[in-house]
Amino acid sequence: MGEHKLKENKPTLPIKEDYESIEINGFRGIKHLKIDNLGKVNLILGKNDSGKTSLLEAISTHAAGHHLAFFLNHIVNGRELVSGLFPEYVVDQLVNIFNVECEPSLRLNIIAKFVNISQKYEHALNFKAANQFSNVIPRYLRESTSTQDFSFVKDKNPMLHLGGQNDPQFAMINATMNQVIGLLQVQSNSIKNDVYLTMPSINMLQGQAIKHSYKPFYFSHLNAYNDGRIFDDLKREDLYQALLDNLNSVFDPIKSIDYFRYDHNVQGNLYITKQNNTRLPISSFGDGFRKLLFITAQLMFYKNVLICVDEVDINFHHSLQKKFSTLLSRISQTNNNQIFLTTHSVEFIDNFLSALYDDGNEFGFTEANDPVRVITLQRDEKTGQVSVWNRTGADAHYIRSQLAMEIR
Amino acid sequence: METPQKSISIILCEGKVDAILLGYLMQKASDYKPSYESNSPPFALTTGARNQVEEWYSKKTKTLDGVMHPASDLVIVSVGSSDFSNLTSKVLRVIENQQELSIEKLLFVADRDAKTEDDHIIEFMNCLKIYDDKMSMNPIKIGVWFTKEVTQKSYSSAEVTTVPSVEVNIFLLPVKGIGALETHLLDALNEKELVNLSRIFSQDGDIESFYPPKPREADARERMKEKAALGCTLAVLEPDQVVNKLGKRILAIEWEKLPELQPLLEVLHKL
Repeated sequence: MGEHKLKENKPTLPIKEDYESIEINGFRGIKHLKIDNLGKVNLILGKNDSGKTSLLEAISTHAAGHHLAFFLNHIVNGRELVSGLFPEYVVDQLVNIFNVECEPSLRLNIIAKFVNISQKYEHALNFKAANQFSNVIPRYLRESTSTQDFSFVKDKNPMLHLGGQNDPQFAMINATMNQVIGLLQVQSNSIKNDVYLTMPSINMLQGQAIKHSYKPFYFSHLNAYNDGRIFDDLKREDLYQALLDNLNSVFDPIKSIDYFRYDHNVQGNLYITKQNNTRLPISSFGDGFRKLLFITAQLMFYKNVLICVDEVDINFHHSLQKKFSTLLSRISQTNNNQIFLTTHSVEFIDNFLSALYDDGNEFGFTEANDPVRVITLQRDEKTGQVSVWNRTGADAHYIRSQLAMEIR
Repeated sequence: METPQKSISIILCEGKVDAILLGYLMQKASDYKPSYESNSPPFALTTGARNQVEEWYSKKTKTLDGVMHPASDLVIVSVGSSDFSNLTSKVLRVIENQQELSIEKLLFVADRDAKTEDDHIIEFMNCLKIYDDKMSMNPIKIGVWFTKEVTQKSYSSAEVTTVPSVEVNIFLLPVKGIGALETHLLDALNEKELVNLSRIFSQDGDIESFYPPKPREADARERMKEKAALGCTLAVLEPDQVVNKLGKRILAIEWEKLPELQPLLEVLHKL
């Protein structure tokens, strides 16, 4: 018999396949974390400070690849809403992306493998130190009492273009691999030290994302409902009625979603028309409906992307959680979107699992094809090591429904 | 502050009355008290079936700060016959999935006189997958603790997969001879004559020849027969109700001092 070689699937970027495993080293509070056997829908659980949000940030950072604007806007500055971004603030935030206890310091990498692709993709960020002083930078910044001791020298760095001080958006950075994008000058004991930040090192073409990703309401759920163009996108794709049908399967029925135009021909607010023809601006609706509206629209429009939703249960009354979970899982299957969700709510976990695994559900997942993972992160408080419980959705459903065990 | 792992022991027994009586015995033999956490235990095994009961107990210890903390929990579960396999399999799933718990001991108490004795022990060992590992090379001795290693179910990398071990014991009741746990309780009662009478009543024996009524006690004897009949009937109909209502009385019985019960107590003291 002839020898059959596995045909290597050479992917084109961005990759459409799902993440199969992810290894994170030195990212925020995570010294080291490796999770294999990821699913299409991943529900991330764990106590506060166990690393749930950092995991979402790390995988989003990896997906963004050379798309550094995403990294700077949504990861580096994603946890806090600040008006006006000062270079020192940005660099301070950037430094804090690195795990303070890792050796060597100021280096992180995220290595991922995708389903059906043998090649691994590494995303690394390094501070290129002028001297050994860089090893103490993260601790130094946290212990320093004076802001005079360090400064970010943007004039020496033509690659990082900060906007005006009131402009939270960074320009897209078109830097080449290993090119310095930032320089931090730190003064200690009257000695100035230069620490350089380089572009991520990835074994791929520069300037591209590894995988398209979207994070509808990553850290601030109030800050995310601003993508009204998504409804135009859906209309163009002939998905508008399907959107209404999906929304109506969860919430009180609505008739239409339209932008109101003022008399002086200026586009106004987004308005929702209910079945009884009552028309209300989107701002009159509660957070729950608005969250449902935008996440559904985004899930329906984007295909083959990574979607991260932090604290997914927030805003949803328990009576909607099952329907929402069904909708979320259904669209992710249809559009081949890989989803990472975090929650602390046992009520959401139970509703989510019940929607997907109770008798009579629409999915029919079996042990062999179960696409759901319920991943619990546990931080050892003595060592800081994060360990992982990675269960299939069916397993988690059994443990919750039959054994009533804690899995958060 | 780190949440301490809660150490838990599990006793599986076949009948409801066994579960309840073992609970009383544990209260006397050890410091276990009915747990206040019974409304939200760390796991649940039973499904509410008629022959199933799940009783939680806690043993508290005094710490240096003077506050009483739970040192360990004990759950006693009657597995019945109809759902035996399912319920016992659940125990393995609990052990495999203990995140913040520490299941340290598992005791299976089987009825010595039951025809199903062997079947249930084999089923118990199959459900725990005891035959799957090296235990098959080392035959299990009834009443002797042995270690069962359980690989926690995880689909993640090997470095985070831990292998907890649980101490397992299979014990037969009554400790010797034929009967049940109730045999020991009856043996410990001071009212020997009444116990004998009750045993004969319940066995429909010729009580008059064994214990002829004293003069002017014939009517009382007849009434006693009816009481015994009522007691027997209700005890068979609602055994757990009967023993539960008599908790204080049962706790006062010093059956833990019976020499023949000491092998069982040695096992229970390990929990």
